[in-house]
Amino acid sequence: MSAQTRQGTSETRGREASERPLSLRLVVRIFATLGPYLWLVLLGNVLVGICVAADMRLIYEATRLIEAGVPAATAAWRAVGILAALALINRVFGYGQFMVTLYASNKAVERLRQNLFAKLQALPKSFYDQHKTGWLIARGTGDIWHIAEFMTYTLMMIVVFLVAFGYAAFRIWRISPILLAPSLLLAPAITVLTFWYRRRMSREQRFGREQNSRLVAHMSEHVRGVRVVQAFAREPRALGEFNALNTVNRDNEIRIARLDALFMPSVNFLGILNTALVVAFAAWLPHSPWGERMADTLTVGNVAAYIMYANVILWPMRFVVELYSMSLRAMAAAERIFEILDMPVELADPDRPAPVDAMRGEIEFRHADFRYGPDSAWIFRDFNLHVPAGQTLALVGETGAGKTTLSALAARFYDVTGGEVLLDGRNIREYGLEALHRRMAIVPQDGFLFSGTVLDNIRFRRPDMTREETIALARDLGIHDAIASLAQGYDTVVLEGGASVSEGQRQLISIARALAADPAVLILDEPTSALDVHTESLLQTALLRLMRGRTTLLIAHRLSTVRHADRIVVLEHGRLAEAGAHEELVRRNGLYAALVRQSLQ
Amino acid sequence: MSLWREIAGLLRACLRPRKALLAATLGTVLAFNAIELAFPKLLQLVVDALRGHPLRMGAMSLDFLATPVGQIALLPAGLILLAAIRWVATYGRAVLETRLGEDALYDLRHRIFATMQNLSFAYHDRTHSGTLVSNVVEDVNYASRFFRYGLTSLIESALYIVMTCALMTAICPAAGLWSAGLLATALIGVWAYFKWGRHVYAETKRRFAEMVRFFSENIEGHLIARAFGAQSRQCAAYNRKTQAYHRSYFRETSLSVAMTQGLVWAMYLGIPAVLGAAIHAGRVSGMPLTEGELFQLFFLQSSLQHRVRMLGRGMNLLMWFGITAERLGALFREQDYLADGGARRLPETGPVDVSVRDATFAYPGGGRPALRDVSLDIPAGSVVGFAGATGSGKTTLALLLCRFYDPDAGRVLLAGRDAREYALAELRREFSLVFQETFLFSTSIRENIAYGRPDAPYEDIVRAATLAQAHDFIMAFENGYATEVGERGVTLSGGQRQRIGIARAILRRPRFLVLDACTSALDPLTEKAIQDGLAPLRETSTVIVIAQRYSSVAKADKVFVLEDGALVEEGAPAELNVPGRVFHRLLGADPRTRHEPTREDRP
Repeated sequence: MSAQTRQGTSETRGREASERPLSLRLVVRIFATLGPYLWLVLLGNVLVGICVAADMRLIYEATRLIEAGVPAATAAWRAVGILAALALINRVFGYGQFMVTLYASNKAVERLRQNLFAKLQALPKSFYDQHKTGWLIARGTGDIWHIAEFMTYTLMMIVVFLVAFGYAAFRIWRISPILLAPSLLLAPAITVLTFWYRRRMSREQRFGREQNSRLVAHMSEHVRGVRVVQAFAREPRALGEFNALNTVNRDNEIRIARLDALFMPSVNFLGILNTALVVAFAAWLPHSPWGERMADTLTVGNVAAYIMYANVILWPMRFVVELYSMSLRAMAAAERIFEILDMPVELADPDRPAPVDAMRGEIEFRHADFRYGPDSAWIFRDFNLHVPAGQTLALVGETGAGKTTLSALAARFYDVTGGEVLLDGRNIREYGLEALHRRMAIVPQDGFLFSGTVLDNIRFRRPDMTREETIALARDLGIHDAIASLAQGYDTVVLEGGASVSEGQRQLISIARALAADPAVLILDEPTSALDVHTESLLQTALLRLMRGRTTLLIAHRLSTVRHADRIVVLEHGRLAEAGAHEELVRRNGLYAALVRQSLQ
Repeated sequence: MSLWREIAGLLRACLRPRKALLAATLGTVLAFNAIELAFPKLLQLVVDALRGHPLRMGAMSLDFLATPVGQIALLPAGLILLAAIRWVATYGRAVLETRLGEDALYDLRHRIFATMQNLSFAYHDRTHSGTLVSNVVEDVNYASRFFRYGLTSLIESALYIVMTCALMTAICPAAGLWSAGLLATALIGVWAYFKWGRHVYAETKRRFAEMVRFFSENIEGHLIARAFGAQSRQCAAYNRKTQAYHRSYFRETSLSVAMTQGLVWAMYLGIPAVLGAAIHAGRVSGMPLTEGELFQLFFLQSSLQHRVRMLGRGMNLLMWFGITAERLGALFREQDYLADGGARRLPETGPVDVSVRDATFAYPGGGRPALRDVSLDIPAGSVVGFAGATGSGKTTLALLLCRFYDPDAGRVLLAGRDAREYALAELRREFSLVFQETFLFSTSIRENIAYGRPDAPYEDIVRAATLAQAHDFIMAFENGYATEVGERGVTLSGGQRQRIGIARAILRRPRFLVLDACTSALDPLTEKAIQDGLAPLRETSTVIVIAQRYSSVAKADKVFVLEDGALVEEGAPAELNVPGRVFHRLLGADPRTRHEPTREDRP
């Protein structure tokens, strides 16, 4: 997998469990996600098995050739021909395996990404209430990578090791069973050594990663805040802080590299020790009491073969530990991803959804009860409210009074716990969810826009709108001039964190986006943020134009828009405290009148 | 500039200051490789001794090793000794090469950071900060990977391959030439990789970024896609993006696999070629190689496998590093620095008067000028307001006054002298800004307020926070001024951030203060309290208020109104606030000001 994914992993994975014990259930599940590509991955493993077997056989044939010394011409060419054939088999199958596995895993990961995304789109809002954005994003980057690594690399390496180990052991056995002893004794020793070293190393590396992310965080913070740094003349100090982190980073890396330099050669040293023993043994045999009988055992070819095969046996041992921890990481990642994939989509569509095309937008809450979860407090109990089609209803009340929840229930982002919500006289559950939402629109408080041009954002709901239609719509809203004055007009690219479009302009665009959707039901989370007066009055006009003729739920934070509403509902702890038009409520001198007075002070 | 020149340039810059270390590293790598090559020689002696061939190294006879003692004790001891030497050499090499790489990396990171910090506002304006951050982070990562794993493995493997081929040629010229010839052919793959790979790689990177951005954006904006019933469409769009990325990833990886595989093929086909050539040459010349020598050749050729893979991986890292080098080269060649004019200093104490003469300014690459022929005078110690619609140029004008930009034409005068004549550091010390959007660092509130005066005593910090109406909400936090801001700490509201930004600016006791719409997120009461708090400041500073509503400039001595980069009106706020005036159209209609007394006793 490419480098960017690696980088994403270290940055986005917080302090979560990064390893989990091996579990057969998860392993099976991971391979199941391969779907139709499972067979290709298995084919890849067969190919790699053949490739390694050819490689092992090649060593055997080469040592036979050496044993023969300089054979007769035909024999020599035959032997070289066999070697060439084996080398070709090894490469053809090796390359084939690589491409097959790459193709299959690439496709499988693509599928997994798509499934995860589709699932995330389908999961209800309550799911997003419970999970942080950063956590979810990490699932789509780092975790997927760990799973991909497991699907391809881990299984393949196991096959490689088994074939290589098996063949090498068989060859040594054939030379003399006793020669297996030193290798079999050393193998576990190397494994234990590696295990100990890994533990030590992973501690160091974790520290290294933490230090690295501190460095990166410091760096990106100072790029984002560079204006403040310069305005307050902090450059030298900032550079000093940075270099302190820089030094820690460097010194730590040097320490890790030295640790590594002590360990890796020690494993090699053990291997050479093994070879030296056999060499001495082979030299001693002719002088031993069994010299006569053993003459055929440690011939030149056999010694050469032993040296090569002993390496093969010892070589995989240090990777075993690596593979193991790789698997544990994959288990942790898989558990999290599958947890999301297995999550029930609470709001299921009916079998035969009611038509939405002629929706008028009449909303009614009938004896509605709602709470966010079985253990949470009730937000609404036996709540009743009727909003005739086309009415603008302002929701007023303190934070936590239930304004946002009420509008979310009307949009069926949640289902009511008890009672029902009716839309055009039908239970809202009778509509297809996506079709229902296509008749609604929302203007969010923060004016959230997707990356892309202003034009594309306005026609988000109707991508087939022409440029002319879009511009006509903006003119209609009275915001054409504001958009045309942007650096590239309608083609200005909106980027996250970009200064190309101001906050006020974002809100204007999100209003246009809602109008382009031509919704029957409109939810407005009124912007409270700082706007200059000019933009604010533009916004007001555009909002009023947008609300005309649509059922509108207006979550009001400021009272300047509210006075235009047909009806105002004051919520207090999930209860309907007051309802009526502006003048009426002011005259009544209740909660609303108090709020108005407060805002004027 | 070509990729190679960028790589060479950056490497030279990183390695030149440490020539000695570089030479020592190369020396140990050379020594290490020589030791590695000595193993097969020893094994050759072992094999030939078993066969009873005469043992020699060059012209020297080593027949004493063929005795039973030599075979049973000396040769194995030689192997063990060599292994011990290799252990020591590996350690030495690792110490030197990591020191080299990490030192170079340290310098590079330092240089990147310092460059970023010193580039002017103009550079940061035309660079999207999100992109810049991710580029820098990525560049540092790729540079680290190259210096840690790429540089030394390239040197080691390339040297090893050359040394091995040379040694094989010495044993049997035909064998050595076959091995070298095959590997040279495989270099075509490396060439092709660098020629096409970088484009494919760049495309993969771009598609990956696009895919991830789409993914995270749809998590952040999940409610929007949902509320507009656009989920199926978003899914389809995401599927297209993953497809495009994975197709590109497949191409990229196939290409880099093909490159490495070419080398591995050459090495494997080299086994029969080398052995066949050696046997054939022996037969033709009538001086056949011994079994030991054949084994030595086989062992050497096989040992190339590990090194060609290492070379392939090194080439991978080198190409990625090349793309980073291109970007860093562009960054280091950036010219957007403000010239540090000279040594002129501001008058000892007191506020500064500021004038602008016929200033015109356009953002680099921004098309039409943001300011056109602006002239104005701001007397020392006055409070003036800048008003205008979004994009009219009021912030630009204020930044020009603080010399964050230089005008393209015209001049900015500070205490009667061109701003460019002053030492930049001096201006930065005496001028303070409160930005429209307050950027806070993820440290404590205290450190944030003291950002411009890190040695400020606690009492001063509290005083500044109190004036900025921030003290009360800060004390409401459990840890008071020690409260951490940002991801690991509290999330502050827009209004709270603004107030900390104001405290941060006034703590420095600036002689010139710019407040850029800094009370926009505050309610009128708090805004008024802050204005009262700032009143004594005019003793020591000139204050500029960039206004978004009438109340913020109601008490200013004078207001300048900008429209489309030009100064259109100036005068006292009350004079300007009459129907028909641009000022009145922009700020006078503010519903919130209707309840504000407009004619109040002036302080």
